[in-house]
Amino acid sequence: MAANAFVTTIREIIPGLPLTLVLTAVPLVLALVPGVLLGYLRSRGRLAYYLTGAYVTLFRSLPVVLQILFAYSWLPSLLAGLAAARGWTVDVFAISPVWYAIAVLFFNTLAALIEVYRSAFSAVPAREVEAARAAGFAESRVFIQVRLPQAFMFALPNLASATVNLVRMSALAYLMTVPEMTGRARMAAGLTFDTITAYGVLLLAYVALCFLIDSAYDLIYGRFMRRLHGTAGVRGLT
Amino acid sequence: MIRVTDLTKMYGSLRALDGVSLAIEKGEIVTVIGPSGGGKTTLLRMIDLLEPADHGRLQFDSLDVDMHRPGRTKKLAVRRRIGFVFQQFNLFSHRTVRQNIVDVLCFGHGWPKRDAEAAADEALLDVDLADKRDAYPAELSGGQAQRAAIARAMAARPDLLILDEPTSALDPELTGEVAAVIRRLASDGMTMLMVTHHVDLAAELADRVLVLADGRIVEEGFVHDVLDNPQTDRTAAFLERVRPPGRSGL
Ligand SMILES: Nc1ncnc2c1ncn2[C@@H]1O[C@H](COP(=O)(O)OP(=O)(O)O)[C@@H](O)[C@H]1O
Ligand SMILES: [Mg+2]
Repeated sequence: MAANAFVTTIREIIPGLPLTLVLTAVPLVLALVPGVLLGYLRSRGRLAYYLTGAYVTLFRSLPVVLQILFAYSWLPSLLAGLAAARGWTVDVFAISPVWYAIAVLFFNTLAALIEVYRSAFSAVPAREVEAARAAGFAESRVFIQVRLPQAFMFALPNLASATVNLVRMSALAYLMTVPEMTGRARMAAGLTFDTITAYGVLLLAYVALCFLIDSAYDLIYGRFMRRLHGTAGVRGLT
Repeated sequence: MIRVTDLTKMYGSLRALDGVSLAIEKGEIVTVIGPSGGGKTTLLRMIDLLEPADHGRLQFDSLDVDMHRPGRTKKLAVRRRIGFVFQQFNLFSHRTVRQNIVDVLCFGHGWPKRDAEAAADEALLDVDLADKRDAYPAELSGGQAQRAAIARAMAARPDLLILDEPTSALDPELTGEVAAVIRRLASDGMTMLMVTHHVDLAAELADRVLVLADGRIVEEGFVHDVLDNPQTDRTAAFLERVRPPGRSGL
């Protein structure tokens, strides 16, 4: 019965939400500091530009599915071999696949954040940097007081996209048997034999989640509107 | 008080400054005029050590600086003694007017926050912007922004104030309020080096005028001598262009 399938599906999917959130938040938080620093270096030095560029291009061109499959099937055996050779006593196969998923998502998010912050740092007006120098700021102060806060502000819209992208990427963790929302929707489909309902509810869940994330970023970004456009700009938008 | 000797700056093969020397005494107001692209902004930036010169020596009271390789300590020491006012104001856009001044005092000069806030409020009173202290730069008119920038440059009581065309990014009706602030600083005895196309203001305030063209000082002298009696054709042609039509002399 459809109504029954609907309830069963929701009951199955909701317990997957915390894992979806973990798979989003943990890679994002871990990638933030290196993403900001590498993004800054990428916006400046020539050598750093090419090195980070190679990393970004690599992770942009590898399909995430491929990375997931690789991490799930090869990485554990690789680590097990390493552990045996070094005489470590960890049981690699006991490591939860959640960690492998987090690792893959982290590397991809880092690539995205390097680009987000490269463009954000490039948008900081050179004139304001020069004004800080002229006022006697040491270079570290120029970075902390002028570059960093402005880059955070400029990065917000692209950071929102990167976060939503991460939510969508996290769905692939089901391939590693991680019981996040997508994995659990598949289980629900197996229980109810109603795939339309199962994936329909899943779709709505992702839409709602991404909408909430976008709205949260909009709310934060809105607080900076006055600095970017003045009150006239805010009035013009409402 | 400040002396620049044989300053040269190349941008690739372009000689932006070519052996420029100048001296400014304490309390003196020197203006720099000259055609666009003549090297005026470059000269001011070099004096503040914002970029290494190819060659040059800067003496600032007892400080003696190689402008090619100033070294971090001397660079910061010089910059902290100079207030710099930019053509485009260059206020920190993510900070309010008051925070702009507080930041400069705290992070540029190492003042304690409380002293910085008191000085910022005083500096804003001086330029008649107390009511705008919590506004962001994007919320100011050009004239207000430039007055805020002057307050920021003056808050730490620099020994020298450098101004790069402080009124030329402004609508004509807004130049007056900025000129008034500069006039007041002049009457307070502030030492200034100012680039301006505002010949009337230069004539009114300056002790001396330098004419910079193609990276060289082509003419230099007391303000009325240069403006009324230009010795070179270049200066005469330049004055002809920047003076409002139908006027001669001062
Ligand atoms: N950062 C720079 N890189 C390359 N060329 C520059 C740079 N800054 C200035 N120049 C060049 O140096 C010359 C002098 O410029 P500038 O000092 O800005 O002139 P002014 O302020 O008198 O109009 C110009 O030809 C300009 O194009
Ligand atoms: Mg200029």
